[in-house]
Amino acid sequence: MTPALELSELVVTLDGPDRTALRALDRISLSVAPGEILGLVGESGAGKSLTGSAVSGLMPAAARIAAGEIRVDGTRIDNLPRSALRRLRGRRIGAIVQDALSALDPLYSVGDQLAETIATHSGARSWAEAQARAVAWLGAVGIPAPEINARALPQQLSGGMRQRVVVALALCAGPCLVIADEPTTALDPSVQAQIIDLMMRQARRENTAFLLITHDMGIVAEAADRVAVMYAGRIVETGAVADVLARPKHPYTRGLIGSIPALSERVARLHQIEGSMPRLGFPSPACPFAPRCPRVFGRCRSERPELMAAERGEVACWLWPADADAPQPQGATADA
Amino acid sequence: MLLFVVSRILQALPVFLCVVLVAFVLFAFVGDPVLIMLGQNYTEAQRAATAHRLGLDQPLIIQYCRYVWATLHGEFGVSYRLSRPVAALLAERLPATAELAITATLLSVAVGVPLGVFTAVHRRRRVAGILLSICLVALSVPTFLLGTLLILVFSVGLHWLPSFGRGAVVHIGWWSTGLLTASGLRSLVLPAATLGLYQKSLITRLTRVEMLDALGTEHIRFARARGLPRRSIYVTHAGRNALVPIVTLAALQFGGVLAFSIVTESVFQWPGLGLLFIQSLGAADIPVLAAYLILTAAIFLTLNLAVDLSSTLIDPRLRSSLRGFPPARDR
Ligand SMILES: Nc1ncnc2c1ncn2[C@@H]1O[C@H](COP(=O)(O)OP(=O)(O)O)[C@@H](O)[C@H]1O
Ligand SMILES: [Mg+2]
Repeated sequence: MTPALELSELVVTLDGPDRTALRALDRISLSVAPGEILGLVGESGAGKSLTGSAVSGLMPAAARIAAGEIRVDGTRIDNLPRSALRRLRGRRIGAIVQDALSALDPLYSVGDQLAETIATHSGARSWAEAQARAVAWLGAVGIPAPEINARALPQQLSGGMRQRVVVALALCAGPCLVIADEPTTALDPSVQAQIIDLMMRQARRENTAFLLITHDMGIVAEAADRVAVMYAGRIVETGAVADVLARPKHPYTRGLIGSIPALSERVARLHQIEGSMPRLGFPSPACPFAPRCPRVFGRCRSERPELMAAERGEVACWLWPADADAPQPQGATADA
Repeated sequence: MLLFVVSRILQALPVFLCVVLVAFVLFAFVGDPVLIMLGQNYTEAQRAATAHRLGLDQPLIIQYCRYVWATLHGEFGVSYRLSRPVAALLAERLPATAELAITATLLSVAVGVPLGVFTAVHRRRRVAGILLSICLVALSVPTFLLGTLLILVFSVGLHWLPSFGRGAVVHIGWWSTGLLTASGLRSLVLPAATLGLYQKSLITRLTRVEMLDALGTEHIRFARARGLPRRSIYVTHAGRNALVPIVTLAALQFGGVLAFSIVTESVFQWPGLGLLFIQSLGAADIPVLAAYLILTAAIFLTLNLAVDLSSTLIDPRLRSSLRGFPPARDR
């Protein structure tokens, strides 16, 4: 089956001062199958949003794709001209954003904004038809009294309702892939669960693939099928969510899981991860996590680990494979 | 909506009465109209008769009330200089200035707004930089210099366009229009260009800033992410979000156009209110000056009302009637 999204060895640079190019994303490879939800998780500044915007073609002005490939539904899109990309956006690649209030135009009713998007992407024969379909979509994402609320301005709706509108905007053209960047971060926990439920239902029912970007391992645990953990512009671990939660391989992943607020007894509650991510533009031969790593040893400081298959997932850490010359990863077994 | 209009008119009323008061003070205390009208040789009886005819022997408060009353009826007294009713003078001159000022404003908006949008959308292109520099130069050229230069090039040098006057006019009722004759239109070109260039440059620069602001917002990013066509992004979304300050500036600059039209009309000998104002100023023709003041105030207040109304049409957040919309709540 063709993956809905496939990144291979994607390198994105940011123009720094004095014509320098800083490597913000370093050889990112991942794939999302149709109907699958891939959680992309990591601390703030790890490069998650940059990865998402590289796919939707809306990177900050300073960013460039320096190497690698992006394929959506089998078609390479990283080398397409802007006009061709524009035709994919919204139609094949949907986007859900964090702050629905600022993402919606304050001057138009939510129904009009939805109808405009529908009219743009699908051959609605008339504005009236587009509006009728907009109302139907508002109902489908769980907005009560959709024909009345369609006339509301974004700022007249509650945060949860607004986020449902954003979800409807992302889904209304029937995309094969949705980039959801922190879709629930601004919401109350009860509303978070509803939005997650909405995305999961869409994935199951319409076979839509989701790249679910979040800093919260709890959201990944709840919603995602697989997870990719990002640190300082690289992917440091991937695997099925159940596997990674039960037996995290990278010390950084263990730290992230440790910061899930009270999930289950099974997951050991570790310390918050001490220290902070290295800044961009200081490439060093060491593992970028070494200065913060509780299990650091000699090799970590002189040589950088690459992402390699390890058991049923992948990890970039010298502790793996477990039978290497490194000290045994006792913590991993103690958790199980 | 009607309530809104009425309340705005009521709010404007005190301002208007203040302006009328200033005009009245001018009228009553600057110079002695009787002396101005009678010249050097007169008898005491003549002076008293004239003062009585003008109502100057009444108490001030009565005079003010009569002045307001007369103003509301469009009576502004008699010009000292021309010995004709001021209202008739204004009615005669108003069409020329109105056509000049409105043409200049429409031109400045029609050219300035698209230029501003263009320079914002293509901000990284060199053309945008060049256009902006031209605007900056246009902002710093004084009106009289620009008018004179245009006359030198297009009238004296190339003989393309007339250098003064309104050309042939057609009368429709009391309104005289130059818009219906070829010579009238040709005469309008240079003064309107002179008057409009400054406004156009101002509008271009404001439009650019407002558009850049609007284009940088998160909702424009999201509009791109959902694949809306460029025209919709630039016009329907960014454009409408940038529009309220642009409309406000364009309307308030109409006041600037009226002020600058005094210079432009002198340069081009354009028979409008500005020229009348200059001539009246020279002759200390207080009734005309006072009436000009009141007319200007009335125009400003009307424009303010128009700006308020159009702003609520552009931006629904300004409509108080929408505040009661029942919001949907999270369940
Ligand atoms: N507009 C921008 N201009 C320059 N650098 C940026 C911009 N946006 C993000 N960055 C840099 O790119 C890196 C990744 O940022 P981002 O993808 O937003 O992280 P995340 O979404 O994981 O929090 C960070 O180092 C950040 O400083
Ligand atoms: Mg982010």
